Amino acid sequence: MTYQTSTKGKRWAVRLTPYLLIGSATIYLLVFIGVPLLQGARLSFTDTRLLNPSAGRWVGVDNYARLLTDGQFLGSIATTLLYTVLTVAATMFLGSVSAFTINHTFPGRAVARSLMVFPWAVPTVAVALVFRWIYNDNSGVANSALKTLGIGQVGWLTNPDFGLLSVIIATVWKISPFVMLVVLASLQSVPLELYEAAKVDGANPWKSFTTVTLPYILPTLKTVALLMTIWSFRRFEIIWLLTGGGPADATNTIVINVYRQAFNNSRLGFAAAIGMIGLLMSVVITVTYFIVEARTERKETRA
Amino acid sequence: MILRRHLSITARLLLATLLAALAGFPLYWMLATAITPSSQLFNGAQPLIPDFTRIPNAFQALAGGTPFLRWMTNSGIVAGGTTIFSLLLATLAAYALSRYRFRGKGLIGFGFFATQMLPEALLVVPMYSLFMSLGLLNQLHGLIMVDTAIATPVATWVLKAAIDTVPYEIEEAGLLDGCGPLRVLGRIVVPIIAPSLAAAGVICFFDGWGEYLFATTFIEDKSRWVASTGLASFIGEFETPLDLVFSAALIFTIPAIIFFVIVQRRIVSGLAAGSVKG
Amino acid sequence: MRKRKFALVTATALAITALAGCGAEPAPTSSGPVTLTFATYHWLEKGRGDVMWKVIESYTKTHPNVTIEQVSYSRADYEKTLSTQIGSGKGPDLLHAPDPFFFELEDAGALVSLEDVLDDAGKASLTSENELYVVDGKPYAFVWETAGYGFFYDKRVLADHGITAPTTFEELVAAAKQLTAETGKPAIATRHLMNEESAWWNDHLAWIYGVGGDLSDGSNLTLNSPANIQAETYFKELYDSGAFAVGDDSATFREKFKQGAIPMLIDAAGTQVSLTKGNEIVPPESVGSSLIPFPSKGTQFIGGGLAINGNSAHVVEAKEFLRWMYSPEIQTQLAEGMFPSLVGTNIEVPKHLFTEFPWFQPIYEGLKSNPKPVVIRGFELKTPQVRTIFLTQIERVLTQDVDVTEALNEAQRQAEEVVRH
Repeated sequence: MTYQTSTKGKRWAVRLTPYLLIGSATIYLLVFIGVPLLQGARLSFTDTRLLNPSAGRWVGVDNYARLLTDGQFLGSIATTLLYTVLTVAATMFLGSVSAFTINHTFPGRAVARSLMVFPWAVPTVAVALVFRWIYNDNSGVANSALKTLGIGQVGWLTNPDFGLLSVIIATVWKISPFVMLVVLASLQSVPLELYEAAKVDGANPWKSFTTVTLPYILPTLKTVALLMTIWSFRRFEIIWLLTGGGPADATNTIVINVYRQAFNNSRLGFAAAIGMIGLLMSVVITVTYFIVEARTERKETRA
Repeated sequence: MILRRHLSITARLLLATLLAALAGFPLYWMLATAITPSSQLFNGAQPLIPDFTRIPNAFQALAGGTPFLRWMTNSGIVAGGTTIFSLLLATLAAYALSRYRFRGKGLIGFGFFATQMLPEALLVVPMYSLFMSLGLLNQLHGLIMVDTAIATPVATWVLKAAIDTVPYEIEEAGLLDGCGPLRVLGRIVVPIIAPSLAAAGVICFFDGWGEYLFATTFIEDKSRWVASTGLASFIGEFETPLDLVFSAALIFTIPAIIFFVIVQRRIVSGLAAGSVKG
Repeated sequence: MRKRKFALVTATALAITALAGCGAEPAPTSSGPVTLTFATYHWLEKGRGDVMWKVIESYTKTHPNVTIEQVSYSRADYEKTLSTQIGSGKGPDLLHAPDPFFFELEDAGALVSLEDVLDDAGKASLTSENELYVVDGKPYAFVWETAGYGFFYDKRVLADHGITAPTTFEELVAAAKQLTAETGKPAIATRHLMNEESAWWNDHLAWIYGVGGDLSDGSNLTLNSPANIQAETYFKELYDSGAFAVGDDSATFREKFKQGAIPMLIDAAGTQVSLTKGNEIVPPESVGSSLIPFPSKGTQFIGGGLAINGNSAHVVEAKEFLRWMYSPEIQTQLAEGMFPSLVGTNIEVPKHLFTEFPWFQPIYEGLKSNPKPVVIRGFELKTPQVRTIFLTQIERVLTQDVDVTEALNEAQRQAEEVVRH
């Protein structure tokens, strides 16, 4: 949508307007995010240590070369991917199911909706705290429950086989409400006439879902899924506070790795390289998404 | 309006109860642990239903001994500041992205989105040096500035989607009347997208309220700590009995929930505005 | 009238001269008020931090133009926060640097040499642990504390079950198993989790040194030495015994001990003060201790050095402060708050502490018998990385039942890779 104006003089002023409007935010982000990012990129080619950020020597691609042959790093990529895929799948599923459930009235709906959204409001530190306690091996309620059911104890945060699962559960708990809200909003904006039309055509509930609802909310679902994906790549606090990357590196994602290398091992340059690779992965996924989207759109418009 | 529903009411009720229970349980457990005496907390002896006459203990973190109330106030300042500044920047930016075509629009738009991919751990050290040279360290307003940088792109996304759905005719009318774009934005568009502003506001508020990494690294003075730092300092801190820690966690959570409850009705419609186009 | 004017002018002149003196070369008695910031995580420890602080604060009484300001971070964030600050040209004037961190700082050139701080008498009073902080013949820190570890148990609980205090590892395991069988609860706890990695390392060396093992021989890493394998086999056995508090981090098991919910700990001695002082459930007299029951009684000490930040604008005043702090009278006063850790000089520990806390005796003896440091000799700077490798392998042993020898060989291999760079 472009503004049309009749007077020539105004056109010049108008051309500047968008830049002025978006200028403050852009400059702000350039300063506070762009500059540190560039510095991070520069650091990744050095062997800088945390205590002497300006004294690093240029080592070229040495950090990157070492990373690509480092078992622990490759493991962290795998862990990140696994964590992301499972979290996004579970969150999308749970969030969507919640949205559908809440979509029409039933007794107690307002209360249920409020409760279902609360996890999003809980600060991450508090989430980590309560889940650590729930997962505690001999004092936590999770194992007490299992004991009563006769299933036996699980090392939620101490057994590497379960570490990632436990972290995913906590993450999904906290984040599903966001998906639920977005999907719900989308559901509620589906024009009722379309349902009426489908009903007139004799569609049963399932049919009207697949022909009316799903196509309508699909764009929203896709956007939310993308956002959830790149957020999962960078999610730090909840994993760090729950497991610190353990047990036995079971939850050592790329970002956890960055943090550990930077602050536990003081290897700032090395950490920056890890971070850059993580960033690259996010960019690749996003760009792929947009390319696929554009192609699908083109197909649709052609049809 | 009789519609064919996808699910029956009973199914809905059952599902909702299950989901609400799953969502609510950890919160309940926070409360339960806060009011259970320390001696009962270990070795699996914690009762599923605590003694509710001890409810006042849920607020023991406010009583003293820890500067928790102070920390919460600091969190409030950071959250409030972040919300205000982010919304300001985001509204202007969203309007530009929605209504104008200009060179570099795609790039800037992608740039905004790209900030969501950046891990904070990568940014924290360079940002620390930057803030030090700007004299913003150990200051709450420094933290506000970081959180604003983090929250603005998301708020912009939400608001842009919202403005996209506002029919252009209304603004056109305003422009033809001689109002400049800022006035149109402020007087006409903003009231229409108020629900989305609320949604974006909530996102910004939560970001500022619960942010941990920068808060812990940038704020030195214990008196200027925010609650997330304070609460995290309780983890692995054996001096603080567990029920006190959970009381703190609960109290830290409550304002966010209250804020949310107040705004919640607006939020749903607010997020709806954008979701059509995706 | 004239007199007053004259007085005013003189006063102004004097003031100007005094202020001018501020800009002149730093003299020990600078005319402007100075604030020295002093960072350690100990300030946060109840019963110890506040006691020490009172002593530190008293410096202002004898040196009124200097104020000492407390800076504290939680233990978990301590090194990270300090690193970020120092790396940016800031940071506190005086800082307590726990052992691996000291080497980081020194290597980065962040610390001021302290060779001119103490006179000969002062230097002679320093304990041998201070040698850890001497680089190229110059001291870059003085020992702030030497902290010991031990095996602590509730004597009454053992007596109730007819168990005598264990003196060998086998007796320890047997006692723990018996207690668990009879009470249905875990009987012994010690650190074993990665999310308290550095603290776990410090604790864990008690096992390695206890059997006479070590991580290096000074020039080569010896992660997979037979002694170490023995130590880890012991550790695994205890972990698997069914009596071990699996999954409890130190905060949890300390709280449990305080509540009387677990009778045995292998832990830093420092916490025993806060855990038992004034505790009606587990009072100090009921706690027995020993160094971990092993054949050879080597033990570790956690050291921390007190150093001056190279970024400090008040190096002269800071040195003056250190001179004061390491004088015998002040050290004796500090010893009260530092207890049960030892201070950096060989003053006598106040006798009443031995009687008030009878569990201190064995720990004290351990600290006096040449304990080893928690940094790897010859590889001090690489300690954090080797530590992570080592403990990750131990985690695998504990949680995935990997064979000890195999795990330690893997650790040795990975560590050799790392130190080669």
